[in-house]
Amino acid sequence: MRKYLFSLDHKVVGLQYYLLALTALIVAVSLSVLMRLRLTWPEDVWPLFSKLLPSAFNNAGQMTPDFYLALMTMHGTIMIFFVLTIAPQAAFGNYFLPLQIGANQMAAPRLGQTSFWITTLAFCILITAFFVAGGAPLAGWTAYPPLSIISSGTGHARGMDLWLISLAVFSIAAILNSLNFMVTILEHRTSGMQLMRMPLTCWGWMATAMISLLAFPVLLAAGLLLLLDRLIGTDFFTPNGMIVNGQIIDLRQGIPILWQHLFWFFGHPEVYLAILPGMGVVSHILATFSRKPVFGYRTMVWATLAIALLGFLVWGHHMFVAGISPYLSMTFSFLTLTIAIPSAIKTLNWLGTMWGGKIRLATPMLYAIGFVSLFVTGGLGGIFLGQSSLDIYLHDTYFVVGHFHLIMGSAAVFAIFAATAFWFPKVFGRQMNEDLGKVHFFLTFIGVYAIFLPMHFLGIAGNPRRYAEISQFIYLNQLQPLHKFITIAMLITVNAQLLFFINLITSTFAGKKVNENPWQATTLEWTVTSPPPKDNFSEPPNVCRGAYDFSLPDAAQDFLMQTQADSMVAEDKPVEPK
Amino acid sequence: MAAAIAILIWFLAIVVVLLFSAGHLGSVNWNFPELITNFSDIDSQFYLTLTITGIAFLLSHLILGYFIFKYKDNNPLVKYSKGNNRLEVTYALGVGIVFIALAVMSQRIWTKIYFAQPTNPTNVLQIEATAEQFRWIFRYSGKDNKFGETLLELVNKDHNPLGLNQKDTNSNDDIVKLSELVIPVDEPIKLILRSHDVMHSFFVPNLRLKQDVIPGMSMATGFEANKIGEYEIACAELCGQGHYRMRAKLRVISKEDFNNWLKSDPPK
Amino acid sequence: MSTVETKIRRTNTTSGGNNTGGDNYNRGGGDEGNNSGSNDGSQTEQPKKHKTSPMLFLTFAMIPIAIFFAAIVFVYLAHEMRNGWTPIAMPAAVLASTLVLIISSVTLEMARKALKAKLLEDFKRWVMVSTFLGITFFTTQLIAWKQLMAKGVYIEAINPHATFFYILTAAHGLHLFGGLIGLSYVLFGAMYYRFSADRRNAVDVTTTYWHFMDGLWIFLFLLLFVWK
Repeated sequence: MRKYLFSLDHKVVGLQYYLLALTALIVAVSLSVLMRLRLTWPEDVWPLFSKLLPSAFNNAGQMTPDFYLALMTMHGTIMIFFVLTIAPQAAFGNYFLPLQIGANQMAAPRLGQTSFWITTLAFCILITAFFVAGGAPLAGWTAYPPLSIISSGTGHARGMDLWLISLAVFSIAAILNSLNFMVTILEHRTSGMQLMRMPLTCWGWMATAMISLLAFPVLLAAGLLLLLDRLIGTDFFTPNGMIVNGQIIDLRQGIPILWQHLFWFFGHPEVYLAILPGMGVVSHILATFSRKPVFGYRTMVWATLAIALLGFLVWGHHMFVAGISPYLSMTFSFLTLTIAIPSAIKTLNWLGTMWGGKIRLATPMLYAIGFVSLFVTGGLGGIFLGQSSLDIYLHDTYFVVGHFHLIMGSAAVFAIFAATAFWFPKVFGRQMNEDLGKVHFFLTFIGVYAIFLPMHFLGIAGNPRRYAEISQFIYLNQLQPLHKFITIAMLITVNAQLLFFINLITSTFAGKKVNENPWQATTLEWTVTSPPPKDNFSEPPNVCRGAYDFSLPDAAQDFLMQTQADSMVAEDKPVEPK
Repeated sequence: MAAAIAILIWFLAIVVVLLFSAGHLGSVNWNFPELITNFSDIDSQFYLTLTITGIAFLLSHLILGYFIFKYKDNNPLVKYSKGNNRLEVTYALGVGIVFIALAVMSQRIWTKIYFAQPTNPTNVLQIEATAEQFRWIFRYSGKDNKFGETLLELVNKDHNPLGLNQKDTNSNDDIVKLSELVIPVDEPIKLILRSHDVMHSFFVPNLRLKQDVIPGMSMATGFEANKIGEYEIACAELCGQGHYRMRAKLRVISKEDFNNWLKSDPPK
Repeated sequence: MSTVETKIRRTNTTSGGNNTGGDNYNRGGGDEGNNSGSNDGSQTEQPKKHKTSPMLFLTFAMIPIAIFFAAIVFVYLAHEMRNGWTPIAMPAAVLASTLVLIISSVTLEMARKALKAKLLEDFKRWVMVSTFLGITFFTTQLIAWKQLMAKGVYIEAINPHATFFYILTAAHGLHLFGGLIGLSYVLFGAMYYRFSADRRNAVDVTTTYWHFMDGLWIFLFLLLFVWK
């Protein structure tokens, strides 16, 4: 009990986070299945399900639009916070950060464990929202007031309060966890592990931790203020002169748009938070499986930091048509397109890493390649949305939905797949099944394109997002075949994920046993046994080189561990031909 | 294996390009809705962006596929390279110039939309649109060109949706229309947007027009329709369970018809 | 002088294994730089049991705290620009509490200085004074709340300025309470003459945090009642 549930071992904490994220993923994806079914076939009756959750169905047994919005809100919230924030950062980071920098533990092991349990608490609070009177909130993951301030009626009652409390609790956990990461990276690197020798994964985690420290307090503050507006009737975001359910709400002095500023000041960095560790993992894997150093390591580091920084300067691009000053919109639009530059450099460097390499197409590599493709496609969608004038039309349409699902949904999840397949041998001493992995990759890769690409077309045709059905508009009716296609593609893709779970479970017990460094990678975690001993390193490793010394000319092997000193290289030649 | 993935990626790239071109060529129903204003800058900027990003997309995927295909596991000569600063800088500059150029072009359109609106409000037909869960209410000022006073206490969903104060003389000739906006063709319109409850967004796909409506504030937006016909107005900001059915009709009619329509009392 | 030295000796014996010796004691006395860097030099030959410097934690912890308040202040400033913004009159107790907090910062600094100079009795006295002042601050803040409520100004008041006053003082008080816990940890050490490395770090960390909270309060005070 003590050993597993409340262990101070960073590896146990990492696994706990991973399992939590996996659970959250299953819940969130199931919600999205229900959502798509309601959207595509709104007339359908659900005899069995309507008995389980009667409040979500009307008298005829059809799912209500309220419940559709609740599903949407919860899907978004769970995916963004409990999957995409914790899986890449807290799960893999807690497990592998100390291993990669040669530390025996995180800086504050108890803090890591505490933040995991606080996160779990937040998750439980959020799920409870489904079962309280009034049901889950329906204001979307952005919870714009005054919709989120209305305090009675389906989707507006206690569920909304729980949602806000859950997010506040989650923010605290995220801040604590990031504190731990920052201090660990700055103080617990082993001798010789200079910052510029760290694997790019560590840079990803560090950038993410910095973002969390700056962004989550804002969500916490905004969430608490909104909660006060709801619970005791303060005036932060409640505007004057509303009639809600026939009741006049007067003499209020709040400014609803402030919430948007605060929320997106947090919200935009948050989406980078989901992708930056993924970028790190993908760079890491591309180098390892191309048997080449990362192309432009320094540039990658600076691009990571640039993206993290710029992420804080572009929140206004979510509000181009929200009535902020047109001059402000122009500034935000420029800054937004500036982010395309470090992102494009990253893409160049990923391709550059593969160029002239010796590419091994093991499953982690496949997922990484999938990530690059999805990142490019999703990122280019951002070029449209970043332009304020195009955003007038595309804002809040399915174009946006398609865009962010490709780049921060699919790409980030592909990075999680890649990291799972890559590090699985280290965690369990066994490898995941390659054949299952390959089939899963093909199905999922084609699947996510089939789901999210057509959404761009829906957006171009002017289909607003968050519509429970499209039957009310003549110009939308003709899009029904496209919606059907997306739903069917989605059902197939979701079922294909069973392969991943089967693979994960069977490989844990029956996977092929492998040695401590099956991928012939260079970083420190591969120097210890698989699974790593409780105290990681019996003596602190001494790092002699950067993280990606693959195929060094004249070296005896095509990879040099970070711990290998130059004197151990076969020939003593200068090793940096340009 | 390598060939399979390379072909998959190439195939995918080409399919994506074809699908988007299909949308562009108008042969499928997922194109833009018909444009009913002479202001076509947004569409052309969209297609320009589509072309540029399309090229970037195609290039990167062709290269990605090619590398997978070419540099298989048996490649004996691995190019040892830690990067190429000159290439990266050149590339960054190139990408930067293209994207910033796009941004500049986009900003010019933005300026046209937001700063080139008719400044003299007397020439412009002013219409007030009030959003509430889940319908649009439109108000014309009538003969006196003045909107009468509205009071929240007088609001009645069925009989007085805006809460017009009949004691105010300006109110008497105000025309209130539920879920239907009637406008004359070829005439600049100034729309004053208000909300009774939560946030909404006034979205006319055919006009490429969208403006959020924020309670407690009145927002203005301007447009001009140049084509007679019936179109649809949607709500584009989540406003509650009836969001999906918050629809209004946009009827663009000739100027004479519009004047007759205003005179007929109550207007059809 | 001689009494002080015996105290130190006594300290070394009671604090047990944590304290590696007089040399370390001198270095750990108050200089943050030494604390964080102390791993590098002398300890490399033995298996590296990393000891995290709490100061670094504090440095990073202050960032989210500052941002948290910045977010609320942002909302405050936006509200201040609205029409019909009428600030409430400052409750008299607030002035008192501000003074108390400033003085407590000074006394705590004196305590830190005393510890550095190994004047343990002085240290103990100053810490006690600071803790007392800290508690006084909380009391006076509560009195300020009472004063407002007596006037019928509540948190959900028509006047948003009052709401902000309640919110900001509550949030600040909550954060300062963390400082008070740290202070009582230090006080406990001072009472029983326990000066392990951990406790000496705690003095530094608590003092820095207390100053931070002090500065934050002065800023909030100026924001709420002085800058118009």
